Amino acid sequence: MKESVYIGQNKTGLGVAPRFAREMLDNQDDEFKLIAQAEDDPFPTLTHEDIKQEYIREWGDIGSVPPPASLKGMAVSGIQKLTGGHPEVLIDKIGERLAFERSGARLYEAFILKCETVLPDSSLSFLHDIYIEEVRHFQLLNEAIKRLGGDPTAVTPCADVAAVIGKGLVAVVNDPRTNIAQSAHAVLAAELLDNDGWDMLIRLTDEAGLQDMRDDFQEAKEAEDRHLKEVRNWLTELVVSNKVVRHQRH
Amino acid sequence: MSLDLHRSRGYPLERQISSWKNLVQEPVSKLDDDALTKVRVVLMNGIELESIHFSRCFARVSDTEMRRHLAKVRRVEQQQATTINWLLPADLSPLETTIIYEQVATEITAAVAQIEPDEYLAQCYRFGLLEDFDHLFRYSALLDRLEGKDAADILQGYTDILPGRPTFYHHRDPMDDVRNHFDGKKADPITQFNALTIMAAEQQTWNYYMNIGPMFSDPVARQIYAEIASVEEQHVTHYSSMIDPNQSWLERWVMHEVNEAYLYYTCMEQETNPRIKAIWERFLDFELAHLRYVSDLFEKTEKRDIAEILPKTFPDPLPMRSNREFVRSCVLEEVDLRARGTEFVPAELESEATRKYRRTVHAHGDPAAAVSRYYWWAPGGELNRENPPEIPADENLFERQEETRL
Repeated sequence: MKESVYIGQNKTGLGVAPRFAREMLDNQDDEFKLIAQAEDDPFPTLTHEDIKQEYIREWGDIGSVPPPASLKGMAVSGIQKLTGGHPEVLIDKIGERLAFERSGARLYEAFILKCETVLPDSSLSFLHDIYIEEVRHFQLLNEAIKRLGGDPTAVTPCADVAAVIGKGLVAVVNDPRTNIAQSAHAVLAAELLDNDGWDMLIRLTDEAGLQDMRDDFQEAKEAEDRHLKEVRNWLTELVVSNKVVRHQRH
Repeated sequence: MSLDLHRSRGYPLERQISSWKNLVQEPVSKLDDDALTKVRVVLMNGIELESIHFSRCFARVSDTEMRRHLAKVRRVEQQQATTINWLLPADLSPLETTIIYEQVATEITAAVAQIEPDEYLAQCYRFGLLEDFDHLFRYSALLDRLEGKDAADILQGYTDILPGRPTFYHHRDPMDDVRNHFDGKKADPITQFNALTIMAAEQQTWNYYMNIGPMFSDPVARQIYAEIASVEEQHVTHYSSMIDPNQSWLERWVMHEVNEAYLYYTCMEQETNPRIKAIWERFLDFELAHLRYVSDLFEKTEKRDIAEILPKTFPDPLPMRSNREFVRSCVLEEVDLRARGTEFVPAELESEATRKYRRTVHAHGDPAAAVSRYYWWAPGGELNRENPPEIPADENLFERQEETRL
């Protein structure tokens, strides 16, 4: 069994090549400092923050919540009234959770595959259970959006942003070179985000007076609490013991 | 190397097609592999992309039979490009990969500038070098200020993070970017290799920046990639205009193939990672077969002896190493040079067309200048300036590194 973290041939940092480091640090020559800025620059004090602020002021947003698929749903649930005339906020956040649970299920599929490959003899049933619950939550959210008259196949702005946040998680877990602990770290990050996301949904449905939905979400949140705890404990154990095998080269 | 280029046959072309599995090999390590290994990966990807680009242009002006010959070799070249480009790992962000691209532009152009026998062309390389070296400085500032990372971890000490000719001045009227070309009948083979190599490197940089620019959410990064991609357009113009337009298409094809073979030989001779070295060796064998194939085609079609255009052996390998002193001295001596027509002149003699062009593109400010305003590289990043690390005095550690690096 090989440790997951080990001393090797890392070539970053200045310490591994002291002569090169000293040569690079010999960079205080005034002649270089003098040429760094063009004398003819008509905006000699313009900074990158100035450019960013200009764009923040000028550009529009990521996109909008799609119009409801049917007005019937909204009328039946009375959501217009219950959400203070802003049902789109709830639709947007449920859309976010739906997209996140769907991606989360795929994240677990990739993670379980890696665990089964590297740790064929370990009991991974708790990961399978979490996976099944992620899929169930995705279906629950699907139904919730339909009940509100929304379109569960649409991408809401918050769903889109959540996918951008999740890009790194997908990259880490699916890289064959990352070990179990590194992948579990990405899964933990997903669970932390997920956990707060369900809290937000409970708060929103509570305020809207959507009691049934709130109860469903509360149940899901309890499952998510369990996921978070299990993944966190497992990760801690992996890191502290440093006994997780990396995938052995054949 | 005593290889006879007129006789060697290489690995049979018919057997060069690989499976998808063989195309997708384990990438190099961002942390553990040598920076120069990554320089070679990026350089050779650029070389293969140029071979494909050239082949497509040739095919457009060719008959069906020649198109078939071109398609046959090009298919393998596309697979070679895939194999090499896919060696880059996914934990390199597009901006970190950009740092490697500019390290390639700095160190390979510096190497070429020092071996180029034609003084005018050597000046052309030094001129472009000072601009790519400056791009590295601006992108390093962006990497630090946007992602909070130190470009020195990518460069591994081989290349400085210092200003060159400020990017502000790189923008010129197109008439001031076209250079004189060498004479293919008289030019030393290394002159032809150099021009093809740097043109290929700049062209892939153009492609890369044009593709990844929109991947950034930060508007400053989007502006900088727009700005520097525009300079790459100028550089491709600059370097491609150095190449003799009077050579036949087939002659140019031969020169492409021999240059590819020469560069794989160069990489193979200097590679420190045995797994990657084996790829360079295999692809050298592929290229020798391409060279044989095209040489036969040249002799059959043009009724000329290949020895008229093809050297019998390779020149010495292109040195791949740190060129710190050379680059620094070029910056201090030539930073104020500007281009006017095909010549290089003091700043005050720039053309009015270039000044006008520059005023237009900088009308709302220069992003490369803005992102690096008051920036000075410090180890561990700008935020670490007040807390510099101690550099170990252990020269033995360096010796050990040097052994593995050179």
